[in-house]
Amino acid sequence: MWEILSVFTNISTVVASLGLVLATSSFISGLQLVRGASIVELKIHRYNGFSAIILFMILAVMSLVNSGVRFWPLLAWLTALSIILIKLYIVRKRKKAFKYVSWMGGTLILIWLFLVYIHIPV
Amino acid sequence: MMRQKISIFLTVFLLLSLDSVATRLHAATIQVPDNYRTIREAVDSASAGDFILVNGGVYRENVVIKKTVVLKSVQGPAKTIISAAVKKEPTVSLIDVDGAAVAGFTLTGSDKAGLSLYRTRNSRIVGNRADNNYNGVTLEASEHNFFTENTASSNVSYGFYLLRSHGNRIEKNAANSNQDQGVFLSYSNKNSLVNNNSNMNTWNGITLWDSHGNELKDNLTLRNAFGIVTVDSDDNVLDGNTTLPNIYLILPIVLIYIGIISYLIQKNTLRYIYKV
Repeated sequence: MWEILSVFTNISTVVASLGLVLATSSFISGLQLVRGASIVELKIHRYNGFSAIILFMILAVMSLVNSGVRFWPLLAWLTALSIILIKLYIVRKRKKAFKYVSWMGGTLILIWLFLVYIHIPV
Repeated sequence: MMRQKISIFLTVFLLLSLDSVATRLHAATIQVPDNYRTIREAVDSASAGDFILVNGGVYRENVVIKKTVVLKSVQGPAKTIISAAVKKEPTVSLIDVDGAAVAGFTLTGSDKAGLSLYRTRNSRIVGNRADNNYNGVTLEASEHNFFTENTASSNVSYGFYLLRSHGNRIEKNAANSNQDQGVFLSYSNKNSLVNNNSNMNTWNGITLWDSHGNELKDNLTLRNAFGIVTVDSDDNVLDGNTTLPNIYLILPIVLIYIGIISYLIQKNTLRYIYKV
């Protein structure tokens, strides 16, 4: 049991895990928001979503500082960030692409799953 | 008669002692690239008991050690890299040696092995990185060698491969992310594997194949397809090893579950606050 819990002695694993928890809450509330506006869902979605973005930034900076700025990792972090920004843009502008916003949310969950998996220490 | 025997014994003892002292006095220290441009030239020119100190740099060559020398880097494995010039040969080979040492190198670029020990005894391999080869470290018919603080990672086949090698001690090494297995003992008996990490290898962390009387203690094998595998092997002692094959796949699922619970708690709390 201790071996399993010992992964949380690694700060980047803790940050990535918290990010996935917040992103999951944000994703579910986002799906509810698509069906119809509610102050409760909106608050949950925004609070959890923006907290997850801040954790994403922290994780990216930690990773680049620890491992050095290399081309492929930098490209991966920037790609993930651009997906987040595109999703925010679509939600704010509410254009034709709005119908794909839940797919964008799903993509963000997959990104967080990947982030958790690669940050589990060996 | 008795006095004569004692006298002969003392003379022989004295001569042997003098020979030993003389050998130690003559042990030279050779610097690469100051005294010799390549490590191979330095090794070829060295006598038994000599120290070869290698300064930082990338050395494109294959080094073959057939005498008792100490080959040591000055600036450690990050700055002292030996890359195989002939890819079909091991980057560094120890052949028919007793009591040599190799310390502090990155050994890479071989389609055979980063470090190969053949019929080698009582040698010390410390603080090397045998990464990105076909095998990281191979031992064949080699006995009573000591490996510590080495890494043998990201190799095409095995991290450490022991074939018909007995009584070796492998302690505090890492064999991670190899495309086949971390540590593979084949027909090798009475070896000690203590406190090693063998993680994220494609197949087994540690395998004992027809190997008997080995000691596997306090090793960590995480996220391999299988942790420790024994085949046709008897009388091995496995104690205090941690083998959690892919259990961390559960972690993301648990986190999503916590996320759903977190959502429900927040929803009910906010409903109570906003009276909706």
